[in-house]
Amino acid sequence: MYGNLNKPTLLKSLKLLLAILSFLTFIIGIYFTTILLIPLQDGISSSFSFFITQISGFLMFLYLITTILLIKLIPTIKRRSLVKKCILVFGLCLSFLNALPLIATPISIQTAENEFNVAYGEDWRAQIPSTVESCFLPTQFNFYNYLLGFSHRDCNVDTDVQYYNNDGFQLYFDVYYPKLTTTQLPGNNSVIIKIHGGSWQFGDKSLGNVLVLNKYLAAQGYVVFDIQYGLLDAGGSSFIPTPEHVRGNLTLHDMVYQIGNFTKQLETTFASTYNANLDSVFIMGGSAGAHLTGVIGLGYNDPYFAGNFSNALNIKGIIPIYPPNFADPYFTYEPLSRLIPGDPLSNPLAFEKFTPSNLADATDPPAMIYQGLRDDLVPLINAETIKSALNANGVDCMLLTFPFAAHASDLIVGNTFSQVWVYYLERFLYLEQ
Amino acid sequence: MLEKSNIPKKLAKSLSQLGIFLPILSCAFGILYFSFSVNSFIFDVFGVVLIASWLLNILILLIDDSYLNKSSVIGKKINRLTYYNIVSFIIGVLLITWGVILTAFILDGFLFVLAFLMIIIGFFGIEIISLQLALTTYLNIDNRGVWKFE
Repeated sequence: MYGNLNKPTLLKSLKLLLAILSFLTFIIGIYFTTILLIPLQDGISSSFSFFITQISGFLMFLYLITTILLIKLIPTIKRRSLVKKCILVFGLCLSFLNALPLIATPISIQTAENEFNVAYGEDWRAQIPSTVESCFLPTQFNFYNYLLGFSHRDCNVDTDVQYYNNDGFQLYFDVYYPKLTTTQLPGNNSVIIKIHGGSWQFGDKSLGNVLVLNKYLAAQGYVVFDIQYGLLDAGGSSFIPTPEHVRGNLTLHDMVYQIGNFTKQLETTFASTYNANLDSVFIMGGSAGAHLTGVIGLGYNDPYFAGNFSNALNIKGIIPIYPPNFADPYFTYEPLSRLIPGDPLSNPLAFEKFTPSNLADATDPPAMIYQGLRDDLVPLINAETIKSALNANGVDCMLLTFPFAAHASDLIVGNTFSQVWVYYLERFLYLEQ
Repeated sequence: MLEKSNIPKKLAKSLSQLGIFLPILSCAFGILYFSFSVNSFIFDVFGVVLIASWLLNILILLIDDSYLNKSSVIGKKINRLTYYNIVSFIIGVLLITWGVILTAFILDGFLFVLAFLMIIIGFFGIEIISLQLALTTYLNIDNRGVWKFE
């Protein structure tokens, strides 16, 4: 009897709890949807935008089911039907807005198709043998990779291999290489040097450098070197994991020197250890890593960086992912102004050479750029300038743009943007190797 | 509008039949997918089936809520089931979301296994509760007094 007396109270309390949780979901949903659609400049919203755009499909389902729950929980009141309709319309709107990145996927695919058609001709798919094509993603986007995580085969991984021990700095790399005989795989042991992002002050190899993609590419026959480099220690902190031992009073010259040192070590030591094909080398990086990718990839043959890199490496392509381009103004404000000594007036040559588009010439390797159209940290103009500079010199540069994609929107490889990106990336790597 | 619209009983029956078929098909694909995790055209079909079964579950929930006679004994039971379904669906989606995020950053070890389990439990959990709701709806669709179709 005691139990019967309390059952309705318990049910009422449970319903109240569910109603509160549903309303909270909607309030958070409004905030997340705002972040998804409008660039908000405060730090937390900006950080959230990195992830919200990548999981909006899941959020869509959450808002849909919460709408049903809330409809069920409406008590018997006057105008119940009207309240029900209002909740339904609101919930459907919220869900629809969160479905926009998914709905926009065909636009990204069409952009990429157009870029490939211009670079390789309309029959570019015919250049890829069917045996190779069978190793690639069959379609630009699928729901199972989106909803259940990006599937990939296994590869060998060696972590924390030291390549630099100088001036008190010890730098390491992780290497991902294929398990199978490489003749069966499209990569043919081509090398990919991956440079992580993090505003030149933060970040690390591995966790901060899209390691699922490293593994996926290694399983396709590429030897992926995911490297550390010295970072500027300006005293700030970030949610991005950063090892203390790589931080110091470093400039861009130091960073390029250290990565250049890696290319030399690759030639003398690591190429033979990992059976890496130095005749086919790609450089890839995101954000600050994309800037360094541009500087190194396009400056490899520039007299300004003479002697810095190994001459044995044949750079076949660069892959900058949301790349900052303009040294002025990026390196004119504290703390990033410490990255280039002086200012654009007192040190114009350094500012010129650390602007990747200025390094473009006819002998440069082709490029494929990833750019989110909702990226308020590194806007589209940066990527467009690099593309224009390369195209003006007769070098192919494919700019793949993604509506609703914010900065760092490639971190979850199965998301709407990354799937399209990986589909074209693996084909670019094969066509250029 | 939802209560008063005249969705035929036949349509509700057909949807619940489809609601039985899709989760079973999705589970079968899921077992294949988790056993042989490769990218293939076959799994493109799986992706569509998966999305369709989730959306259909939401549609059946909406129909049940609109046409169920909650004052009847069976109606009450089905109504309670819809609550369990919704809460389980939310937990399932959250499990998958966190699992997918974790597997994007961790390649091995305990956390990776945990994340993988979160995805599997979330996926099969949603499919099983969808199947249960569709089956219950279908088996009771002809019961007099349970629905407000008449």
